[in-house]
Amino acid sequence: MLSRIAESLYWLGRHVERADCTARILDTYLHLLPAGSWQADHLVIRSLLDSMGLSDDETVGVGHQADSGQLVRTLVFDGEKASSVAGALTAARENARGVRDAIPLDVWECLNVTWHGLRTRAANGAGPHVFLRWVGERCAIANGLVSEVMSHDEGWHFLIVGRSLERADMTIRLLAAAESETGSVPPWRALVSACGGWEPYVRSYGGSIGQRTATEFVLMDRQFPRSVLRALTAAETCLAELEAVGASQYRDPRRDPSSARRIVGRTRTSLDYRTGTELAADRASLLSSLQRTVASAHNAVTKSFFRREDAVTWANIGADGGAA
Amino acid sequence: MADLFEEYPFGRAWDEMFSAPGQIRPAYESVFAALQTLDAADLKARADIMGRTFLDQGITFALGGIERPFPLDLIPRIVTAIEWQTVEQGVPQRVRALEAFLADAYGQGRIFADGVVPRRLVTTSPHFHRQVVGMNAQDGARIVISGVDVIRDENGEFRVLEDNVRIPSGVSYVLENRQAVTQVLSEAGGDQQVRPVSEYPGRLLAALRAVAPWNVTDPNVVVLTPGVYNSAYFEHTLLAREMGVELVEGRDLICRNNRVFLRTTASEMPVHVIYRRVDDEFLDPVQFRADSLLGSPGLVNAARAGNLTIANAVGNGIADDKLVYTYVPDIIRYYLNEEPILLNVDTYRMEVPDHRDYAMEHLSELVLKPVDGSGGEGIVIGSRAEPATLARVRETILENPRGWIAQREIALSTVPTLIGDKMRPRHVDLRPFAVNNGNSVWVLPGGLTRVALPEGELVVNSSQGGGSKDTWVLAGPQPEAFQQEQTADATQVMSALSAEASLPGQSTWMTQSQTSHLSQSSSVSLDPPLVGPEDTFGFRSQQSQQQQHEQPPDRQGQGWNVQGEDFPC
Repeated sequence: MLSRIAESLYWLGRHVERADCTARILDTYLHLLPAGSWQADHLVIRSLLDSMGLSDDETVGVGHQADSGQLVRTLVFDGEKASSVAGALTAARENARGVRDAIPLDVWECLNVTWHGLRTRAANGAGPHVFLRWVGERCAIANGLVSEVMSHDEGWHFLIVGRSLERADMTIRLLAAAESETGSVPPWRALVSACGGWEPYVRSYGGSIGQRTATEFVLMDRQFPRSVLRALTAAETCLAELEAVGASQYRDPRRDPSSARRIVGRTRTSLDYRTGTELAADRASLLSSLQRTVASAHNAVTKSFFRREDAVTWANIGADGGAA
Repeated sequence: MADLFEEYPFGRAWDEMFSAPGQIRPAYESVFAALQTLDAADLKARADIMGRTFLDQGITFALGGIERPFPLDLIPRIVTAIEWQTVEQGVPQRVRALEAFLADAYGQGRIFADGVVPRRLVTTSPHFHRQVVGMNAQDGARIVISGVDVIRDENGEFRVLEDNVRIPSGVSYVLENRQAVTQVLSEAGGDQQVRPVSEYPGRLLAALRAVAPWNVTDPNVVVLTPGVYNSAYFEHTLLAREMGVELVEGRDLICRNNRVFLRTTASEMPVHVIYRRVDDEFLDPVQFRADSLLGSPGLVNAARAGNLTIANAVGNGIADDKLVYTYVPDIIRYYLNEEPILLNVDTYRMEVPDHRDYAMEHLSELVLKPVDGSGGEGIVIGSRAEPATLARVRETILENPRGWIAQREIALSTVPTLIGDKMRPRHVDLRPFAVNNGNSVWVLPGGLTRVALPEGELVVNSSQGGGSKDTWVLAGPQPEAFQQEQTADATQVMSALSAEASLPGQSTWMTQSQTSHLSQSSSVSLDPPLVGPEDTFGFRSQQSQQQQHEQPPDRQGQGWNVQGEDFPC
C-alpha cells in the first residue's frame, strides 16, 4: 500500500473520530450550562477548552471576557479550524478525496454529502444542538460503512489505528480536564456522558456516580467500546496486523514496523492489569503516561509507515526556483 | 406532451433528431415517445436528481478551484450502427497513421526526406521534445489512449475537428453519464440495443499491460495524477478504481538506476507502466521543467532504458498539433496507402502564402484557431467577431503564420437539449475514445458528446460552459446475410469467422479463446445444443457467440464486434 494513501486513511480515521467526539463533548457540556446564566459559567467553558486541548490557543479568545456564544460557534461551525467539528469533517473529506480510489464509493459519498451539508446545516439557524446531533449521525454512518463495506485490508487497519488513537486521546484529555473545577456542574456525570457511556455506566454501577467509578469506567471498562483500554487494544491489534503484512514483503531496514505496537502494547498491558482501587493513588502519573503513549505511538506510526524523504532539490536551481 | 418541442427552430445545421419539422429520424423514435409522456416539470425534476447525485458522489470537474458537476443533459445523442461504422473504422486508421508518423518523426524521418511533411513543421512545434528522439521501444504503442474529436457537418458527414493523442480526458463522463441516464430516463431506450460502454476500464488495463516493457511478465500499472486540485481528478480516481490499480502522485514515485518504484508502507514496489495524466513539461524535472513537483526525476531515463512504459508517450504533442492536423490525410496515404475514411474540416495553413492571402480576404467567413490552443481558447469565429477583433487577429497571424490555421465555418450538428422548459437545438461534437494495445485499436462504442449550452454557440468545451450528453451507439439492425448464418450450425459460424483471421483484432480474439480452452469440458455440459464435440473453443467464445446472435454485428465490423463481446472484464 502506498505510504501516502496509508497516511491519508490514518488521518481520515482520526478526523472522523475527532468530529464525532468533539460533537458529543460540546453537546454534553452545552446542556450542562444552566440556561440564562452564561456569565457565571466561564468555568464550564474553561473545562471544555481544556478537554479539547485548546486552553492555550489564543485565537479562540479564552478569558473571562470571552463571549461563550461566539466561542461555541467557533468550535462548532468554523470550517477553517481543524479542532472544530466542521473543520474536522472538512479535513476528513479532503483526506478521503485524495484516496478516492482506495476507499469504497459509499464511504466517500457519505463524507462528501456530509461536507456539502455543513454549509446548509450551519446556515439554517436551528442551533448547535441539532447540528451536533446530525454530525453524530453522519459519523455513525461513516463508521458503519467503514466497518461493513470496506474490505478489512491494510488500509482499513491504518484507518482503525487512527480512529483508536484519536479516541483514546480525546478520552484522556477529557479525563484530565475533569480534574479541574467545573462550578455547579457535577463533573463526573459530564465526563461519562461526554464519552457517550452514560447508559452502560448506569447499568454497571447504578445511578450513583463518583470519581472512582467514573474514572474506572472511562479508563478500563472491558465492555464499553469507547473506554481507553478498548481503544488501545483495538490500536494494538491493528498494528500487529500491519506488522504481519509488512513481514511478508521485502523490508526496508530503516523502518521499524513494530515500534508503535510496542509502545501501545506496553501501556495497554499496564492498564489491563490494574484494579480500580489502584487508580486513585497514581492517577496523575497514569494520565500523563497515557498522553505520552498516544503521542509517541502517533510518531512511531508516522515514522515507520509514512516515512518520506525530503523533496529532491537541485544543485543548479537558484533561490527563485528557476533553473540557473 | 408535445409542447416540449413547440416552435423547435431549424437552421443550417444538421439536426440529429429531426430530418424536417415534425419528421423524426427512426433512431430517435423511442426517445421521442418517452418524452411525449413527460412534461417540462418532470424532466426538470429528473435533471435535478441527476445533478444532486453527481454532486454527492463528487462527479465534478474543478473550474477556478471550485468543484462543480459537469452539466449533463438528459436527452441522449444517438448514433446508428451504420453511422458508427465510419467512426469505428476511421478512428483506428487515423491512430495507426499517427503512430507511424510519431515513430518516424522521432526516428529516421522518412516522411520529411520524401517531402510529404516539412521537417520544420515538427521541429518548430513546442511539443517536439528532443529528449525522446531515438527512443523506439514504444513504437506502435505511443498512442495508447486517444480521443479524436469529430463533428457532423451540414450534410451529416463525420469530419475530424482535432486529434488528441496526449492526454485526452472525459471518458469518465461517458461511463457516469450512461449510468445516470439509465437511472432517471430508463424508458427512453425502448427496444433498441444500445452498445455498452462499461468494458472500457478493462480494455484500458489490458492495453496498458500489453504495452509494458518486453521483459516483464506481470507488469505493475499505475495511474499518475497531478493531485486533487487537477480539474480532471475525478476521472483519475475513477479510472484507477475501475482498473484496480494504484492512483499515484509524483511524490509516491522514486527512480533509481533507471527503474521506477512506489513508496509503500513496507518497502518499494516496482512500477512498469505509468498511465500518466501529467503533461510532458511537468513529468520529469531532470528533462523538462526543473521546478515541477508533479512528476518524478528520472522517469524519461527509465523509459529510455526500456524499464518503463509511459502512456501516452512523451512527445506525442507533435501529432495533435493543429498544423500537423492539416497534413493527416497525406500522412494516412503515405504510411498506410489508404484513403482517409474520416475527412478533415477544410483548413487553410496560414504559413502557405496562397492560403494566407485567401484567408485574409475572407476573414469574416472563417474560423481562426491558434495551433497550440486547447480548451477552445483563442478561437475567433469570423462571422461573429467585431471588426476590431478581426483586425487584431489579422495582425497576429501576419506576425506568426506558423501559429494559426483557418477553417471553414461549419454549423455543427444539433441535438434537442432541455433549455428552460423547452427543447432547443444545441450544437454538439463527439469525442470517441480509442485504446491501442500495440496490435489493434479498439474504439469505445459511445463517446463523449459535448454540447454548447448558449444559443448558437459553436465552441463546445467543458471549460467554456459546455455540457454533455450520453451517447448511444446502437447495435446494428440484423443484416440479411447474418440471419441466414443464424439458422446454420454454430460450428460453421465459428469456422467462417476464424477464416477471417487476417482481420485486425482477430488474432487477439484467437489467443483469448485458446486461453479459455481449459474450461471447455464444463462448458459443453453447460450448453450442449450450441456446441458440437469437435468444437475447440472454450466457454467464453461460446458466450460471445450467443451474444452475437442477440446483437449481430454489422457486416464489415464483424471481426471487431466479436472481439468486443469476447473481452473478459
